[in-house]
Amino acid sequence: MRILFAVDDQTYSGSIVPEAARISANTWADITLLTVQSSSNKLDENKADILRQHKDIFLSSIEGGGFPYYASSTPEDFEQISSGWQGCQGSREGSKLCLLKIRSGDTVREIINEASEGEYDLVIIGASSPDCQWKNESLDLPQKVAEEAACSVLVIKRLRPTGKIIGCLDQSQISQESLEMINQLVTLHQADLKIIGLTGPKGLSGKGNVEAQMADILNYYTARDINAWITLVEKQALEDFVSSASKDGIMAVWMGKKSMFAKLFSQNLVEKLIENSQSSVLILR
Amino acid sequence: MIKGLLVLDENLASSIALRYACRLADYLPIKFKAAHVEDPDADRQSAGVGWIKRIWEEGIEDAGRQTVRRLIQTEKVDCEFMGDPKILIGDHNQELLNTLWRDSYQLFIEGNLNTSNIDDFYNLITSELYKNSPTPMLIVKNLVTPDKAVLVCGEGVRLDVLGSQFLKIAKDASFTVDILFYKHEDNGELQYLDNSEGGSALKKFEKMLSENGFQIGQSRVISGSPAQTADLLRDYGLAITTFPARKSARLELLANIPIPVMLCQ
Repeated sequence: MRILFAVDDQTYSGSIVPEAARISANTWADITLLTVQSSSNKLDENKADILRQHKDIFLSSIEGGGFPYYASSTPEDFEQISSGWQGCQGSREGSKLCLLKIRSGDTVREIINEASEGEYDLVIIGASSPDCQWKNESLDLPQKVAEEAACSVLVIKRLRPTGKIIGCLDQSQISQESLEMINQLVTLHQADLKIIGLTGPKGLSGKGNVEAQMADILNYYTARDINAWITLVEKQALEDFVSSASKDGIMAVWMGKKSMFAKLFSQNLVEKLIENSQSSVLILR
Repeated sequence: MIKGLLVLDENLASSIALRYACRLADYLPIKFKAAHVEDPDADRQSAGVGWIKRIWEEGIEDAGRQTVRRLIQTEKVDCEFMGDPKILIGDHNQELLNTLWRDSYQLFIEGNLNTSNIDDFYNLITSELYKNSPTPMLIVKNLVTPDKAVLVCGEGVRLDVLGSQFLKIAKDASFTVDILFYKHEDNGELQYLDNSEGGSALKKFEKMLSENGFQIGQSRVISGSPAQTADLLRDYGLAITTFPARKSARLELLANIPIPVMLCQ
């Protein structure tokens, strides 16, 4: 598993470092902390310092002295690479990577490019609450990353206790990695999982195979002692349901290429979902 | 030993109901007869189609039996059934209703996936089958463990009916039982009220259960919206109440409850 954690120097990024650390450590992931500077001429030392500080907090947030990551005793230097600058961390055999990276250019583009070039599985990004922006950046940066990245994206707006993860999982196509990702969120938040099935006048959408897949998903989670609840939502009522449910818990929406939810959720709705949510939104691909 | 009729089909709702029923058997002395209704008008390829009526019916019955067996095998459940599955041919509700009356079952169980659409729930519980059933009707909405049950009381609940039906089913149950007296309040937060707000009816109900040797865990009076209260009941494995007589806040509460609901009449 590879995670890209995109940050800046604001509180909405700093305050979620421990959450990102727990997700990374639980999934035994290689992680890159990325920030973007506008100029490509010279390393912005302030940005480099922010990344170093975030890394310290990241490592100290993980029980057991930062394991499985390597904590160097000296501040990390940066070296120039083709896309910008990269921290020169020491390593220890068997440890997972915790890289620092600074790219130069447009922030949205560079986060999306890094996600794609580095073949990451998940991008984690914070956002101001309630307006869901990044300071001094183009409008709706978190929404744009969530929409355009090729991999899954977790947008964390505000850390608040939640008892529910609401999964729109599009049961016919969901990947094993996505199920595991939700499992991690449920475990981290000690939450219940609400699995949404789409229904219409003829019952569950795509009946037959979909029903069997939903049963498999239910088995998967109940076997892991997760309280999983099935709720059926009519297709026409999905938009209303999502806007009310996102105030209530963390929404996880499967938006893979063949996803029925992707067809029903207009781009506008994804934006609205992220904008209106009071905690976090996980877009799964 | 309670005799329960468990209706199965090859779908998710039945898969959940089957697994829940097996869990319920750990807490109640209950045995199930699996039943399946085949609609003769359905477009099904069966060995008997087109043959003389008797052979045709045997073909349909055989297909139904296979459906139930497949489900039981898929779910790998470990509970005891009373003989072979009962395969009924004809109108779903009418056939089940006839069976409930004729074979003296004490509990009806079926899966019905949870929607918060009140009309769906209202249509279900006002169907001919539910209205005319001689037994309590257990609607399994989700897979939970029935280690804790809650008797839902409040406006419109006939406590004498609830008490007597509940004792018939649950007098030897090993799950714990709480009472929740619900008062509808759409505005504001969920509130725990003083138990005196439940009035003399609540006291009488508690006394009746205790005189019949049933120990109630917690008795609470709660006011709130149906959705808020329904969410609170997620911690239970079974909600038991009487049929709501009309569209009401209690109907909305029962429609929203995500756990299995047993309706008595």
